[in-house]
Amino acid sequence: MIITLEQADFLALVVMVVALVPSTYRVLYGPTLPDRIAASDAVGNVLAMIFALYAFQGRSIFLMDVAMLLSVISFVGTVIVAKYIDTGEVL
Amino acid sequence: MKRRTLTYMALPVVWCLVSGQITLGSILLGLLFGVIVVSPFSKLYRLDEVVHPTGDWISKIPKKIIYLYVLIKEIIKANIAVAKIVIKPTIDIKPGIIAVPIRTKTNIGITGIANTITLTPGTLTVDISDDKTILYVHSIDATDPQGIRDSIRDDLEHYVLEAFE
Amino acid sequence: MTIIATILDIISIFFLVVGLIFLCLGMLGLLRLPDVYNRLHATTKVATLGALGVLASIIIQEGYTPMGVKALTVAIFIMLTAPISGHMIGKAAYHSGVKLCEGTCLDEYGPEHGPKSVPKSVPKNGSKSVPKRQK
Repeated sequence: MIITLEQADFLALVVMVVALVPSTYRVLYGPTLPDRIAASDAVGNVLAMIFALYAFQGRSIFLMDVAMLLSVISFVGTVIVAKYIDTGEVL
Repeated sequence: MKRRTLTYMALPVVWCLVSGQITLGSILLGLLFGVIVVSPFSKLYRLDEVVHPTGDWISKIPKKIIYLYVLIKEIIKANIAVAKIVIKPTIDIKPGIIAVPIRTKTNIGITGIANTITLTPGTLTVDISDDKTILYVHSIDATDPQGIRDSIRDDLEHYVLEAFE
Repeated sequence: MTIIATILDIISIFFLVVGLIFLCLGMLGLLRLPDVYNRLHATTKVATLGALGVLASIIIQEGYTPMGVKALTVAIFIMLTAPISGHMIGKAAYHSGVKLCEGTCLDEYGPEHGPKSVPKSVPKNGSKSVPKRQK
């Protein structure tokens, strides 16, 4: 059985989408607030990877920008919400 | 050297990496965008402050490469160790928070050692004490605190001290 | 030339598989480990290596093209920022009073750094921030 490179990339996309399920559970039912923040940070990283692989598969440079922006926004959002929990103010 | 010069030298490199093309036109465009973007936030960037870049920055590049090699090796070891814990059918771990004394005094050294500890086997920096001498490290296996302190001091902090100070 | 291309393909697929395995293990650790601090071990390390594996596969396939340079940028950014989100979440969790899990055998962070006794509605900086808004 021979798998071409395109099919391998497609399988990788499917595996990553399946990997999103546990962290979605943690976002919805996490016992504490920091659990949800950590899980949403992980979701952001995995989504960025999905977009990077999709950009590579579809030969589109601009979808790689989406991956970059997703990782940036995920990081900034995580830091701001964590700081809000810690000190009670954002800036 | 003022901080303004350093900022205007760094932003074109960032623009080249983000836009994906490393050409002369891209560098000039990055310089233009850098000047435009930085000007409203000049108070935030503290542009007129005089900074002293350490003189032997160039001569420490080989030590930085050794540090990068040690870091990548430790990252791979750490990931295999944590993955083994995750994949076991029953999870029995003894975590704990350990106080680790550090020797570095400069801000960049403390940042480097804290991020290195977070990226290496089963340890996660939680906080630093007020006088910046003790790091509080959460470890996934805290049955031997003295061993963890010794391994951090001998294996990691040595390379960070050589590379960043 | 075709031999080199084939070898590069094989290396790329190897990195992709390693990255996917670590990504899935990170998400599994997020589900299985007992408390926030242990879950942070899984997300900040295992998921980071998974992401780096996927990006390394893209870089090897693309080489020096705009897409490869952008993938390198994403990799550098993720490697620099993953530990910082780990510190921030861990510190916020400890200060907001999340308990350590049952098997914990040591806590040297101490009660003096523990959950802040002052309620958040009257913080020390609160009086400072009010005149700022009036300006």
